[in-house]
Amino acid sequence: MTDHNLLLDILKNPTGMAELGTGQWNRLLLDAHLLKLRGRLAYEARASGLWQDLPEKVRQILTNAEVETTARQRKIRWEINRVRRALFGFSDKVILLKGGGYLAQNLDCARGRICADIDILVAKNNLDIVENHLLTAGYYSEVLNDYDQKYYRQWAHELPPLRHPDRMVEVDIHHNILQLTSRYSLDIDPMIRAAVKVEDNIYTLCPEDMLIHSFVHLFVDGSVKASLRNLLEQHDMIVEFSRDSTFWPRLMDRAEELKLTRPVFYGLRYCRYFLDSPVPDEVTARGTRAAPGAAILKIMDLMVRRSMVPYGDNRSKLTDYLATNGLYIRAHWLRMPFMMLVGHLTAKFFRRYGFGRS
Amino acid sequence: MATRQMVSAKVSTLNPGTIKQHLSGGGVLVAIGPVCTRVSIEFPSIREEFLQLYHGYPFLKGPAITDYYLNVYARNFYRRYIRPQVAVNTLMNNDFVPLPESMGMVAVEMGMNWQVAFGWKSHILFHAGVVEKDGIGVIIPAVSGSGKSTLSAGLAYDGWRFLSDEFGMLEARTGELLPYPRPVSLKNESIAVLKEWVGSDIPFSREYTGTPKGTICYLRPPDASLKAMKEPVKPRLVIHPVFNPDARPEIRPLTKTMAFFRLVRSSANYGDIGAPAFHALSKIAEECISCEITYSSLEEAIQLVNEVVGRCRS
Repeated sequence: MTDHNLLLDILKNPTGMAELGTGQWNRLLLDAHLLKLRGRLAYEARASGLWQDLPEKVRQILTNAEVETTARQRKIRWEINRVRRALFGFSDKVILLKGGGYLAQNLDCARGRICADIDILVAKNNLDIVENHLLTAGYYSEVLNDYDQKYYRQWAHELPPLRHPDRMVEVDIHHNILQLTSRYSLDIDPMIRAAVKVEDNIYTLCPEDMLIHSFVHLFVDGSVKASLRNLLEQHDMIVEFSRDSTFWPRLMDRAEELKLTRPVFYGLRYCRYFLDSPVPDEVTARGTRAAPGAAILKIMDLMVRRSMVPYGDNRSKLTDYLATNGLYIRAHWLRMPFMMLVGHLTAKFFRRYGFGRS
Repeated sequence: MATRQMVSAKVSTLNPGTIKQHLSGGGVLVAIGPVCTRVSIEFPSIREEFLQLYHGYPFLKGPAITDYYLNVYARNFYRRYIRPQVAVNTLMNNDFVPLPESMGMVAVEMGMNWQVAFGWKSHILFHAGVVEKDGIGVIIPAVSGSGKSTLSAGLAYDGWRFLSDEFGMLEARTGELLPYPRPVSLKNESIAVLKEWVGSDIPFSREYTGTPKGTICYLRPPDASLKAMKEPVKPRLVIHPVFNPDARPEIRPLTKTMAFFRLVRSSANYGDIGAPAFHALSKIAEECISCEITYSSLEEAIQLVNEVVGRCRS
C-alpha cells in the first residue's frame, strides 16, 4: 500500500509545513479545502508553533478557515444550549452524537473541526415527546414531501431534520445509529444505558461507543468518499481514549456485544493504514477475526484507498470513479433489503423526473 | 506591517497570448487586491469577453498561493455545442442556475462574488462601495437598489480612486480598507447614466439583457485605480446613500450608535469574526463621520459627497 498524499503527510507530521513551496501549498490547501480539513491545518499550524513562520498568504487563507470553524462551533454550542432549553422538563437522556458530542466533551478530535449540524439520540419511545418539545419551541421540519416523511418515519433511524428559523442549524433526532432496514440490526439500548452525562439531561455516548459509532457511520452507513476527516476523528479518539489502558479490551468486547466487529475491523485497519494510528498488535489480531474473505478485503482495500483521498496526482479518474461509486452502492446495499431498495430508487427516480405527486 | 508585506509582493504579468492559452486550459491566475483566483473558461466566446473586461488587471506569471478556483464549463456535449449553457464550479457548494452562453460573463462574475462573499473571513467584509481621495477613505454601504454601485462608479470617474463597488474589506488589526477593485456591476437604468457620465464606451462590457437581475453591464475601473490596488486606506467617512427620484437632496448625520448598527447590518461576516469585528466597527463609528444622503440624480449625489468631505476637512 503506497499511496502518497501531501495532506496525509502533513496531518501526520505538521512540522512539515515549515518547508513547503508555493506549488505544495496550493496542493495542500486545495486538498484540505475539498476534504474540509483547512480548519484542522490552521489548528496544527498554531499548535506546532509554526504559525508565525508560514507565508503571509497562507496565514491569511488559514485564518479564513479558522474564523469559520470557530464560528461554526460557537453556533453548534449555542444550538445545543437551545435544544437543552427546548427540552426543559424532559427527564430522560438526550444524547449528543458526532460533532456535538465531541464539542460537549471537549475531545481532541473537535479541534479545528467544522461541524455542520446537531445529531441527537433518544430512546425510540421518547421520539414523539422530544419532537413535540422542539416543535413547541419553534423548530420546524423542512421535509414536506409525503414520501420522504413516510420514509423517514417508517424506515429511517432518524426523524426528518428540524431547524429553528432564527438560527438555521439542522437538528436531527435519531432513535438508532443504523437504519431499521440495515443488514446489521443493532440493539441501541446498551449504548443509551452507557451514555455519559454532560449536564442536566444532555449526554454523550461513552468513549468506546463513540468510536464504534464513528466507524459504523463511515463504513456501514455513510459514503467513504472524501471522508478523511472522519478517519482523522477516529484516529484522534484512538490516541486520546487509549491513554486509559482499559480502553482497548472495552472497545473490542463492546464491538462483539453489539455485533459490530466488521466495521470496527475496517475502522482500525484504515486508521492504521492512512494515519499510523497506535493500534496494539494484539488488538489488530483480535479485530482480524471479523475480517471478510481475502477477495472481498482486497476489493474493499482498493476502493477505500481510492476514495479516502480522492484528489491525488497521477491517478486514473476512471478507477477513482468506480471505487467511489462502488462504495456508494455498497452503503445502499447494506442499508436495506434488495426489493425495498428497488422501490426506494424507483420512487426517487419518478420524483426526480417530474412524475411524482409533489 | 504584515499587510504591507503581503500587498507589496512582486507581480510579473503574462503576455496576452499566454493568458488566453492558460485560460482555456489549467487556468490563469488573476490577482485583484488581496485575492488571487485561478480562472479557467471552456467557452471561447466567454474567454474573449473576460479578457476584454479584465484588460489591465494583473495576470500572474509565476506560481502564487491561490485563494479560489473558478471553472466555467459545459456539463456535457449537448450543453457545450447544441444548446450551449454555462455552468460554474467555485468548489464552494454554489448552486447557480445555469445560464445561456451569451450570459457567460455574468456567470463568471457571480462565481467570483460567491467565493469572496462566503469564503473571505480574514477581513471584515462590508456590502459596500469604497472610494478614496486625498487619503480620505469613504465607505458607501447600502442595500441593493440604493445606487451604491452607481455612486461608487460615478465617483471613480470623477477623480476618486475606486477600491470596490461590492466588497469593502477592512483589516481589523490596522483599521485599514483594502482595495478589491473588481469591475462595477451596473444594472438597468444606471447603465445609461454611467455611459453618459464616463463619456466613452471603452471601459464598458456589452449589455447582458434578460439576466435574473434584468440588464447588466460591467464597467472596468479607471486604470489609476487598478494600479493602486495594493494600497490600503483609512476610512474617514461612512455615507449611506438613499436613491429617491422624487426627493430633495439631503444630508442627515447619524448618531454614533446608529452608525455602528448600520455598519453591523452591512457586514457579511461580522458574526463569524466576532470580537475583533466588534472593536473594529466601534472604532469606525467613533472616529468617522457617518451620515445618510438622499439624492435624485448622480450629479446630486456626488455634490452631496463632496459637501460631506468638505465638513471632514474643516
